Amino acid sequence: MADGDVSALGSLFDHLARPVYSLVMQLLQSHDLAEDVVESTFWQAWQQAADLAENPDPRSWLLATGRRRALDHLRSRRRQREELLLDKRQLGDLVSISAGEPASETRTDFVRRLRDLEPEEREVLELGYFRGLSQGDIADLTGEAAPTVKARMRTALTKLRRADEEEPAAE
Amino acid sequence: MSDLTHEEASEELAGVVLGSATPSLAERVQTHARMCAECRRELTQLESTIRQLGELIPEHPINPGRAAGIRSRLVSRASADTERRPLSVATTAASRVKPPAAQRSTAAPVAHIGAAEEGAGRGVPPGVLAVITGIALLVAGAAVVQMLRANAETNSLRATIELQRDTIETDPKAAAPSAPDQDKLVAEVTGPDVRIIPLTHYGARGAVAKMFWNRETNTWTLVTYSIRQPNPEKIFQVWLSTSNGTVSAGTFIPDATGRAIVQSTNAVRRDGLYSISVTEEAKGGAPTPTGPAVIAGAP
Repeated sequence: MADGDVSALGSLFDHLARPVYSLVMQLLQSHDLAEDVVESTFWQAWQQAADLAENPDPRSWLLATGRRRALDHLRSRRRQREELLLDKRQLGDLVSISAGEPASETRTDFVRRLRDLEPEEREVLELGYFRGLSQGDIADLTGEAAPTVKARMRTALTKLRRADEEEPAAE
Repeated sequence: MSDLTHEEASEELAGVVLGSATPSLAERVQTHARMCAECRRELTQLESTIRQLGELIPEHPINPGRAAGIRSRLVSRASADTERRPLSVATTAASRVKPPAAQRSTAAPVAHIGAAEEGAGRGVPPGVLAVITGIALLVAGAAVVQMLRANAETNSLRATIELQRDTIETDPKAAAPSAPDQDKLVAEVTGPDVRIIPLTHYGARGAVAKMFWNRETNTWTLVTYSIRQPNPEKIFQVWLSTSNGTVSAGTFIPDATGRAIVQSTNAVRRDGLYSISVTEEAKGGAPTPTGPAVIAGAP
């Protein structure tokens, strides 16, 4: 693609449009907006093909870029409290979301750690990651102080890390 | 330099990777992390965790027709982008060629030209040599530009073929013409003796189609990029106005995005082409043009 191979862009889209669409659709809850974001994400991939070629994990690059663009959409308009409350009610539980998926060993291990989180820790992850809410919005919705929300996010993510990521391998 | 202390930045890392921190705060944290190995390491680990979180997303199926539309637009834009790129590449190529010659003053060009012409450069005044060198560079530059343009045309054509295949695969009812064999088609439009004639219509900002005339094989390949649909019960017909009269070069109906590829064989003298036009005719085509010209071009 970095050499201007247009068909490579088509192949990339064929392989990765679905997961990118799923992620941004989860955030935006609008087919039209999600399609716009998918298109702009793959266009960015074309424009930054040289960077992408050096990335060992183009799937992660596309997912992260799509998510950033979806968050920009969400934040371009200030959501009303009623809308945020609806977001909260519509939340799926992370553990149940992942229950029906095919389980690799890594995934099973990750889901187990998710299950071990405190409910309020999972909640801040869901609101932050899957709904794109700011820490201020989450604090507003949950009735917690902003520092508490921050601390919960950090604790939740730290608990989710694999044990072997905790310490760098000995040189 | 970030205004955050290590402790302050460290507390915000989770919010940054989740995208929950405000953009300005995220920028300040990133600034700190660029200078702090510990925070950089933690950011990397947190990002890895976030990636796993992303894999838990339930699948939202994308409408196949809409996906095909997005794909087509992307490929089309990329194709156009590729066509634009050669101009800047050509400039770069030219600027790469020129400085060494300039740095070598006239010595190297004199040696080169002298070798080719068996000492013809000896005794020639430096001013004349500079002119000769300039002409040589211009010719070389033109050749590079022509080669890059040919590559761009090839890429564009490949993209169009891909698009046609997509249309056929995703919408069996689409009235796109059958996609010719890609390699044969590309060979026909990239041969050493291919002339490219742009076609357009009044009000268009640029070419909406191109005819590739392979003068070695007498093959004519029309590629349309954005042409409207014909009226009901009508088709488009391609005409070559030549020194031997006006001859048909095939009929077609573009796909939903205005793209089509039409190929025909017509022997025409090298200096015998006057113009190319596309008219709207009744289904089945006409022996001579009767309908209005939709697009046209001349060599």
